[in-house]
Amino acid sequence: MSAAALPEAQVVAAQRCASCPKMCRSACPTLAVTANERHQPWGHARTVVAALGGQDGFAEPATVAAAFACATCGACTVPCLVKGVETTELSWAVRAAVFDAGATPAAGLRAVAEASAGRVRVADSPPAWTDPAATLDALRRLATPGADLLLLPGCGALGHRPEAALAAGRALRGLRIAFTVLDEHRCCGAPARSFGDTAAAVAMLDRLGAAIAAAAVRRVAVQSPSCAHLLATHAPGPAGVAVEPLAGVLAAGLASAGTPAGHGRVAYHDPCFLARHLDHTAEPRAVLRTLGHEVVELRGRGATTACSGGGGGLPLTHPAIADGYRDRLAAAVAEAAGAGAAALVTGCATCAARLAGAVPVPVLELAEACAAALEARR
Amino acid sequence: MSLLAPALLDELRAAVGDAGVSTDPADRDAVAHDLWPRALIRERGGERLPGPDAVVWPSTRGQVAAVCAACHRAEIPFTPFGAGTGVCGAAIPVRGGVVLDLKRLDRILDWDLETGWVRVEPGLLGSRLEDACRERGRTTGHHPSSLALSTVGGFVATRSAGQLSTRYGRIDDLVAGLEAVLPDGTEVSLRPEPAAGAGPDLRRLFLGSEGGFGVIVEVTLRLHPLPERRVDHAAVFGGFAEGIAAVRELLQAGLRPSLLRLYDLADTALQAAELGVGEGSGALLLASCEGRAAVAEAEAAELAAICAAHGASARDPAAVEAWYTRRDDIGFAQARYLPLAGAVLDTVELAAPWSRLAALHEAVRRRIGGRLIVLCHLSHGYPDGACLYFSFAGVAEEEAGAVPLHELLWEEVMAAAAETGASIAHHHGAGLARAPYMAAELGAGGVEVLRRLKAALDPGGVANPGKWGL
Ligand SMILES: Cc1cc2nc3c(=O)[nH]c(=O)nc-3n(C[C@H](O)[C@H](O)[C@H](O)COP(=O)(O)OP(=O)(O)OC[C@H]3O[C@@H](n4cnc5c(N)ncnc54)[C@H](O)[C@@H]3O)c2cc1C
Ligand code: SF4
Ligand code: SF4
Repeated sequence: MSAAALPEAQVVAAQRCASCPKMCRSACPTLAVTANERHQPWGHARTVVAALGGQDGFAEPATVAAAFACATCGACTVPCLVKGVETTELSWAVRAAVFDAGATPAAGLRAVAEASAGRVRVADSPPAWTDPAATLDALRRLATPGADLLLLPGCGALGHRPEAALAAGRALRGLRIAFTVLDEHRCCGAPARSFGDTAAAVAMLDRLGAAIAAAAVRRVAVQSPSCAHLLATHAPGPAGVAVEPLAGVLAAGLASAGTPAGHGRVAYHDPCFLARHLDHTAEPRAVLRTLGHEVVELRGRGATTACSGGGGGLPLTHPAIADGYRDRLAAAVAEAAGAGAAALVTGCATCAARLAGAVPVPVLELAEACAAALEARR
Repeated sequence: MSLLAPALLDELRAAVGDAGVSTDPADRDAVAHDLWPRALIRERGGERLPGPDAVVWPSTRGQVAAVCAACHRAEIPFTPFGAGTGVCGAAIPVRGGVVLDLKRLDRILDWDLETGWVRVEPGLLGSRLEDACRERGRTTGHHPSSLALSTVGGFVATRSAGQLSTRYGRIDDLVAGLEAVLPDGTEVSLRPEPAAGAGPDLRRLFLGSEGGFGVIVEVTLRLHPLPERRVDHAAVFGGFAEGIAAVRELLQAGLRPSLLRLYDLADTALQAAELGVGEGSGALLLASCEGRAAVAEAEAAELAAICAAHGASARDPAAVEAWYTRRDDIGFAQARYLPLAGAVLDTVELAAPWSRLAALHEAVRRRIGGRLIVLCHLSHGYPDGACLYFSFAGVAEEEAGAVPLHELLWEEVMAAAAETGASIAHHHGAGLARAPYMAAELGAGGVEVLRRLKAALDPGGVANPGKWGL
């Protein structure tokens, strides 16, 4: 049994969470979608406590199902005031214990293998991966060799929405911000963390760190929010290299570039990892306002933003639940469209890909909105 | 393995669809109990409550009716389940059968803002309703600490009371009408009325019914305009008795503060530190008056004058605002301390007329003090009495002693209520926790009425059986 695989702090967290009167229940999208009492932090934590004392340990099917029925969106961490409980940390620790117990779902193992091989996911059901070299090549044609800013689109943009990665390059160029890109795609290891393969996660992060060092840049602009979060919290590159979400770089660039013409009302969706995990909510709005947009706020924004269901490997392990998340968010977008928003913009290419076609207005990743507005100005 | 007959499972699936029925042990385990501390302590000790044989998620009232009718025909128990945040074991399916999880019935159906009514389904979370009310400049005024944890159906079925019930009333006062499905599947519509007088008030039958008379499938609640102004007042009395006298006088004078909390000396010592009000001796009163600005200000002035006349010294009203910011945080402490071996935590709310309130306070402290920490505050005031809300905390020497200590706690508190003629419950319902004491509470005649009602409405005895001591 692999109970020892769970760090003591997370054992305490699970016990506390399983004893909690479900204080965050209104925040958890998995519970909202399933209406199933077991699928919320309290219920998930109970399966951890059961695994710690049970015969099958972390291979217990209910524990495994619970471990992955979570988008690691962090919504529950906002109302949770229980000391020592941080559900996303607990979730990652439990996934690692499940991996050690050899019970990781096959879809997750495949995702880790593909990411390790430098491939990016382009579709969720059925899942499909591809080599993003062509997109990176196209991006490189917009880049300036030797620039001191590295643009890291991340798997989300390169896979789910390559046009967003290219738009990042176009936007930076439009703002006359010189950037460079890596010779080949390197995943930050977030998919490996999501599926509990700690060794693979560390190896991938190390490889990315080495690639950043080799690029000899002073700054890294990260487009995919989960990637930005992982790099911000684990700092893989050499000391002194500043890592920031692309939205911040765009906001700063636009502030000095002057205000283009107005482009009407748009709704903005805060991606979980950008807004909740990195507290990065002002910058994307600053980008939109500087571009001349009026921002229509969604029901659920900032720290209480609604997850699109793309995180934590949820579309691979629980696609129906992930779709339920998306539908809830789509309803909020439809409401904003009713209030006059002509488009939805989001700071996450994965969210944009998930929402496109599910909402009554066009969907743009932030860099796409930025590039389009800058190009229209010329 | 589910013990339900395949034919019944087929019937349930036909009623709600395949995805609406589960016999998965993990799904059943998650609704095996509510938040009754006895059940939580037993679980901590390694026991697993058996839970239901199936969980069913209806999403329309017609589906509820079909499920009830199927269970009735098959003589299989069913237990409605809102959010499972009840603290008395009312939602525990003691005889297995079907748990009817109502969370998919969570729509807001209709607003009548002219009248001040909102019609909702029972699985709606309290905070979702309140958010929607606020968007329309309204409030139900019902704000239990579990507002974001519990469902409207749960509020009605347990006769819940919110923190501001002194002004807005308890849920009993807020229900204008309701619709229910009787245990055999018969649908009943008790339409909303501002007031009605033809015969007994049948709506009241379902208040506090804890699933024993069937399933509440729709509720029309009364709305209030959002207050224009809230005026806070904090004061400290020399003792609990002086505070009680002041609270009685102001309520009997017709004042209806929204917030009205008077802490006893032990609770004041704790609250004063948390809320930053002085050294923590005496009995702390926190109050708010709200509504139209001029009325709220006048009411608060009267309240302050009555308190002063009873020797209270006023404190910085910022303490009241500090209380509001953490008004719903009570559950977090449970998460922290309940996992500890031997720990016993619980709250018990009793009610008594003014003439017996001090005696009730004394009796509970006398019987429990020394064994467990006892804190008490008065809240939910009426012209003729109030609720005393006790919080208990302690640790048994070993885990095996925790359940007996919890049993002893309840025996003694219920004995204190009997000794002083107090009501054994104010707003947490009866469930299993109070089942042994229902005869003393209702008297032989009352129990007989309850028994006959139950037999008439639920002849098969399938609706949440094993509760109320019947
Ligand atoms: C931290 C915390 C704070 C609390 N604070 C308060 C407070 O301030 N005031 C207060 O009054 N209570 C409070 N409670 C108690 C609890 O929240 C209430 O009893 C609440 O009303 C239960 O709602 P629920 O939806 O969770 O119901 P459940 O626990 O699911 O069910 C309660 C009972 O009602 C029945 N039931 C549920 N829905 C229906 C329906 N639609 N039709 C028929 N029967 C039904 C169930 O069968 C069960 O018997 C608190 C609880 C906690 C954990
Ligand atoms: S995440 Fe926090 S608030 Fe939610 S159930 Fe766990 S301990 Fe309670
Ligand atoms: S991180 Fe998100 S999905 Fe996971 S338990 Fe918390 S609220 Fe639910």
